[in-house]
Amino acid sequence: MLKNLINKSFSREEWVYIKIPLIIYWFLSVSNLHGTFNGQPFPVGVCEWVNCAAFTGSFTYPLFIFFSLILVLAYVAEWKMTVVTFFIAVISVISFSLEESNGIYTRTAIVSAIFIVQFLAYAFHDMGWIHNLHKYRIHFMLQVITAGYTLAAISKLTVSGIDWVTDGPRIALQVVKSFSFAYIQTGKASFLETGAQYAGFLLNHAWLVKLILGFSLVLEISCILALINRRVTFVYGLLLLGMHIGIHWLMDIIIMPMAIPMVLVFINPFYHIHKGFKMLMNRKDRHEIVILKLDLDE
Amino acid sequence: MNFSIRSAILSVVFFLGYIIITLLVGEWHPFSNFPMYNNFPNWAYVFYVTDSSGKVLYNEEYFDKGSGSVAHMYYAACQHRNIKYGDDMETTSEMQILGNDILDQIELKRFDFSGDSLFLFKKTFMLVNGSILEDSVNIAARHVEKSNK
Repeated sequence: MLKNLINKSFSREEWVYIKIPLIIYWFLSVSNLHGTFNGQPFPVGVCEWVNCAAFTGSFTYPLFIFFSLILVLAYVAEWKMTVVTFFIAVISVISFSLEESNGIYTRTAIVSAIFIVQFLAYAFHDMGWIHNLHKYRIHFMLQVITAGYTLAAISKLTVSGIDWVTDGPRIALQVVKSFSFAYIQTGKASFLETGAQYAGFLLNHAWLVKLILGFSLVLEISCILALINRRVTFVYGLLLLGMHIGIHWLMDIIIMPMAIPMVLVFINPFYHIHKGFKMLMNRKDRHEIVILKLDLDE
Repeated sequence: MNFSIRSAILSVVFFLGYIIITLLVGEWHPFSNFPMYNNFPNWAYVFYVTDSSGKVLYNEEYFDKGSGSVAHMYYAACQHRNIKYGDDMETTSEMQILGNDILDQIELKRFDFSGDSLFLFKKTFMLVNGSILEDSVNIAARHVEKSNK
């Protein structure tokens, strides 16, 4: 098991299929934020030291977007990555701290953390502390994402203990709340009906709620196992994705800043789709060669 | 078995480091305990705004902030002002202060509503004897200048 832990490797192709959607997601997230906030009424994080809102002015905002775009292009081109990932991490921390300083918590900590550890991977490589950059620039991300889910489990256990599972039927209140948010947001009364139906189902099937919550808690607290080897990482990715889908279906909530990095790093779907497509094309080519050979033989 | 101690440490250092630092510093971006739904209290709040006729003004149409964000703002304001919240324990004056904090943060996108005032409501959901009960209270009001808009 230790050997698997240490000898894990990733190809350059896998890296490309993770980093491109990741940086697109990052750019869309931070550029959207800066169009929204004009101040920081509840300063938290680095915004306690720095006026993060200075980046949202009519002059600074276009400059910020332009600079971020340059960073995105450099990141995709794998150019000066130590410097580029450093600045991406800085912008990430400032932008999402600004969001939190406006009282809005979309749980973006992992998004910033994964760029910080990417920066550290490149910096460690430049300093000669690590030699297998291909492995560590992905594995460091895997570690912080895994830590995030583990912390979520620790939070549940320290605040609620086992009551988190036994009080589970009260989740019906959270379901009604979520669907009420959707109604207040859109005006569609169907959300209220759906919320009431789901809440009723949960209240009438308390045992099922406790079972699902118990399973989710075990999944999160055992997330460190995702570091064992790539197969386990992939399985955990699928289970966590199932958990996110279940939460979205039941409560109309999805925590994108956790789900998207997890899916990209644990499952790497675009890489597997590409691999599958390549295999199909190879089979098609082999099939054509066989037919051609048969034709020639005839 | 041939393996590098350094490689083994590098394979878990950020997992352990992130957890330890977060447990020490708490919620301080980029460190977070990810406390979402870490308990299921017997209450839940939603917030909505109405016009003078009582018609709900839907956030997507009328405001620059989403309904979920408004709730986040309420809790952020509570923490900022050291006001204990939940289970309707906030006093009327505390709710008024918090409500005004929220109305200071949200901007109108359109002005085609009745009257010239906005009313912010807090609705509480509670589980009582297996049924979900709800109760709404007006926590703040704001006059809106509609001329030339």
